[in-house]
Amino acid sequence: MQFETVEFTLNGKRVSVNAKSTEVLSDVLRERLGLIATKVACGEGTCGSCTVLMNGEPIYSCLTLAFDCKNKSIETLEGLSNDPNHLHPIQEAFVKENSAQCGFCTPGIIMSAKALIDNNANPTREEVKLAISGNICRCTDYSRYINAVLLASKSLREAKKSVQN
Amino acid sequence: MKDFTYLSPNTLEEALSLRTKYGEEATFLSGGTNLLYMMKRDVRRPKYLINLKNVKGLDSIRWNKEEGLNIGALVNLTKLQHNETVVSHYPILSQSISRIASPQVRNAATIGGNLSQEVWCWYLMEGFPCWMNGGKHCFAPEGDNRYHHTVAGGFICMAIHPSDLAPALYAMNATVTIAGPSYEKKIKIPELLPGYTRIEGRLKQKYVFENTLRGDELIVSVHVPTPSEGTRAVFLKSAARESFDFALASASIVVALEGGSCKDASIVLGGVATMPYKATRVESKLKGATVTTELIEEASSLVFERESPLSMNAYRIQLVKELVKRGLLQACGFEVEYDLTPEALLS
Repeated sequence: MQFETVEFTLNGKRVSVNAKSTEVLSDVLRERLGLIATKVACGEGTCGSCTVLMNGEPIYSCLTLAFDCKNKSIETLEGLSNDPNHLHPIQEAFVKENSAQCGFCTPGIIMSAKALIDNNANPTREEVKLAISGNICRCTDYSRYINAVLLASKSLREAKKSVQN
Repeated sequence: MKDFTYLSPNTLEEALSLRTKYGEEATFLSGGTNLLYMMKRDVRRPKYLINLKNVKGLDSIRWNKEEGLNIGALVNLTKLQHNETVVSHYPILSQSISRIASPQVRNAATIGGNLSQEVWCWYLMEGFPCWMNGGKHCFAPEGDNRYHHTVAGGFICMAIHPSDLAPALYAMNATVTIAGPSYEKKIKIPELLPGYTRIEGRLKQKYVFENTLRGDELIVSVHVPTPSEGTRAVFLKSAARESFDFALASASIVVALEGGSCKDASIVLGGVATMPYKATRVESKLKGATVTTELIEEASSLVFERESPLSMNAYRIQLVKELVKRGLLQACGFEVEYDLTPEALLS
């Protein structure tokens, strides 16, 4: 059994975990750190529910070894907001659009959406679809997710404009 | 996953000597989107994983007009897809990568890993004791061969080589540089991925893999020459879903046109055979001829030397011929129905 200290930045804070070689990032997040917003459905990189951001890019945390996270920056849904009274604009938009049904795919979709909006302040509908093309939803037809992401990017653009004025 | 020891060398030499030290019980790891999937399903159980992501010197993209494009094996697929040089001078590669799996997979996967990936057959992935899993049997012919198996013949393993990028690289005449314990060699895509041909030497290996890499060899770079003036290259893929799915058929079409005639053509198909399949009869029909829609119609019926569908996959034959036709129309500047869904291609 091989254990190694894995240090990485998680939602802006430095963390350190004594991980096993066979652990994947979703194991570390959920079992070791108690951050259960990141879901595991297929567990093998074909559904997207475990999507988190690594150095700003969406990856499947169920298919990423813990050891491969050393010195990376990881963002999970908890990093957007863990306070229901002060949601991140993307989360607000998903609530407004009533996007989720069972909610299992939703954290992964939000993280893919965050990566999109971080890099592209004004995405088109097609760009949103592409950004979430690695996230499968079994309940919906995705239209409310797409609308939510467009709404979120609009709110963020307007918030930025009013700050600049 | 079965327990393993993770090793993380910093140089290519170290990586190769670790493989020499631990032998067959060690496997190289880059993006992990294929290997970790199989390890989680307990189909592959290496005792040592040699992580390549910290090996220096394997992740650059270099280009100049004379020498062409040099891509390090560890270059990430998303990065390669969006690289300015690739987008402007080798758009067929960007098009091909854009259809691979999903954004999250492309963010982890590498070009070296894509070329050395294993076949994706549900019998193998469910742990059946097939040719790729320590046995001497293929379950596809008498089983469900709708999605993952060849229509162009096979010898032992009948599974399709799943790479979308390999056919595009083949059509662009790419060369792959491979490093072994004490040597380096350069081979073309068909030598790396010969499918069921030239199987003799490989039958003696413990597992028969779809690529000819020895266990102690490693892809270090891929070179793509500069296409000649007037070359047009397109990549088309038909799949059940627009993302995630492997190709039901893919066509990488590279044509050099002068006036109205075809000077040269290179057409490689994915999703139909145990290796990227060069449609030589289609190429011969086009070379030197004046390109018309009638010629394209005729040429695209010549895709297969010999059609060898299995019990449930004959539909792919019409699908790929129609895909080739639409690809040729597009590449040669004709108007084309751009709907490439299986329903549209089979109607």
